[in-house]
Amino acid sequence: MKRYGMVLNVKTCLGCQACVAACTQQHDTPFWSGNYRTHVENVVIGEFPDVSREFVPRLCMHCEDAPCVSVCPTGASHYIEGGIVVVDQETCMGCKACMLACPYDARYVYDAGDISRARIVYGPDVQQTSAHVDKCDFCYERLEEGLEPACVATCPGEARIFGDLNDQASRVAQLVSSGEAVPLAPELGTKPKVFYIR
Amino acid sequence: MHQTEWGWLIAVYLFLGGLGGATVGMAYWLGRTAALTGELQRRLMRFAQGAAMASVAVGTLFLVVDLVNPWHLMYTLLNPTSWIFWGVLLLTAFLVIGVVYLWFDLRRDVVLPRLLAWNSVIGMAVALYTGFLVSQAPDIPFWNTPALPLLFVVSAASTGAALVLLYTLAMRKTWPWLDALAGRLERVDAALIGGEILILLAFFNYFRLAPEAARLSAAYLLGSPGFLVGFAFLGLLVPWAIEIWQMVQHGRSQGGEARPNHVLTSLAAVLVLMGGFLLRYYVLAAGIFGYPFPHI
Repeated sequence: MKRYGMVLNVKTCLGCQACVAACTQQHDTPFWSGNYRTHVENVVIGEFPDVSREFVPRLCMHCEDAPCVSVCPTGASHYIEGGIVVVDQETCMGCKACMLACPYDARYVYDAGDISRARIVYGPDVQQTSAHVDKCDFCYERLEEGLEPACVATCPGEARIFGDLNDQASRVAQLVSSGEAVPLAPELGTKPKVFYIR
Repeated sequence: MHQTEWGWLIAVYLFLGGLGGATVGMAYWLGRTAALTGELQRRLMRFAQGAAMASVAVGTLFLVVDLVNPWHLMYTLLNPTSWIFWGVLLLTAFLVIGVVYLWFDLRRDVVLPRLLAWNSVIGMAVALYTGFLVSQAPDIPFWNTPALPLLFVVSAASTGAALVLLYTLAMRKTWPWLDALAGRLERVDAALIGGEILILLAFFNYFRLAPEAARLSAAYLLGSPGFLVGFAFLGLLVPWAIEIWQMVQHGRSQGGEARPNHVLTSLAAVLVLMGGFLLRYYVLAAGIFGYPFPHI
């Protein structure tokens, strides 16, 4: 049984935002509203003259004990194979309880106005057809074709590493079990499956 | 970072839902403890159920308007770990029982006391669920406390008492001795507001040394003139003072029932209602997330 996870190497991320662009193209997301499924944060550390900068990619953590799944009244937020958390846009009523439950700022509203605009920007056969609350879905449709998620495939710094955490031979599993890659806010008990090397 | 998902529309829903539910609860309680019978009891319950139905129905409208995709509302009964799921069940039961009760009362001239009893319990459960709903955000420390549902249910009971109080004052031409009931409601409301103040003090004391986001929430509220003047002073302390003063007056009266000052009492009731809405508005506005990340 697969348990998909991701490791983000903050040490090699250049902040080029190619992953953001690839994701937007892959999933027809409403960039005009400033909403993305993944984004890269620009973090300044320290004060002049001892300053440095980090680029920290952020996305849905696909938690094993996801609060967003727990609070969703319609079951639109649910798990699929591999422990991936997805939103069924045909069932989501947009109550936004999931957005309040998520500790990682992973979700955004894809409203009716965005849907109309998306039809123009991405064409009439756009993927997003129903207003809902949207987020990263680990590109599960690409996974089914044997591809990696779009953000992982495009990263020039090899900052995004994806794989099956249950496969001891995979890089993600090794980085996590060695303790080199750690989750964000583990004390919240959500058991995120995205880890960071800092 | 303040939450921006649930704004004043949801605050109105939380207020009207709690008010509607608690109105039936408080009216039923009043009817039982004052051993009301006959036409007064019937008219009181009719008002309580009717006001509750209107309040909950209008509140739910605000809720539906806030949804990103209201057409999918029909799918709500699917996940028992969600408080929205329980809310929909409770609200539906509350509305159906209330409408059936009113229909039998108005069209068939039949009173169904058992439906009243059920709705008084379901109504309080509706008021309570609104607190559980807001508190189920694991990374908004200001909301995610056991005290929030308590605060909401006590506040809702206070608003329910205030509404029933306004009714008893309005009906005193028909039943001049209703002043006694009004006095009783005032005393109960004073106790409820006292409870609310205690819970709020416990809240703010806890937040002095709580996770950073909770401290920011507390600081935001204590620095907000709307919260301090609108809610704490006008919505809580002023009506409390009025009610306590009236109780003291009553204690000083030489036998018989002291007549409550109708203007002051009505003012107190209206302020309590305003305070009930402002509490929910400010609780939502003060919700601050534990992120931004990264900080390890």
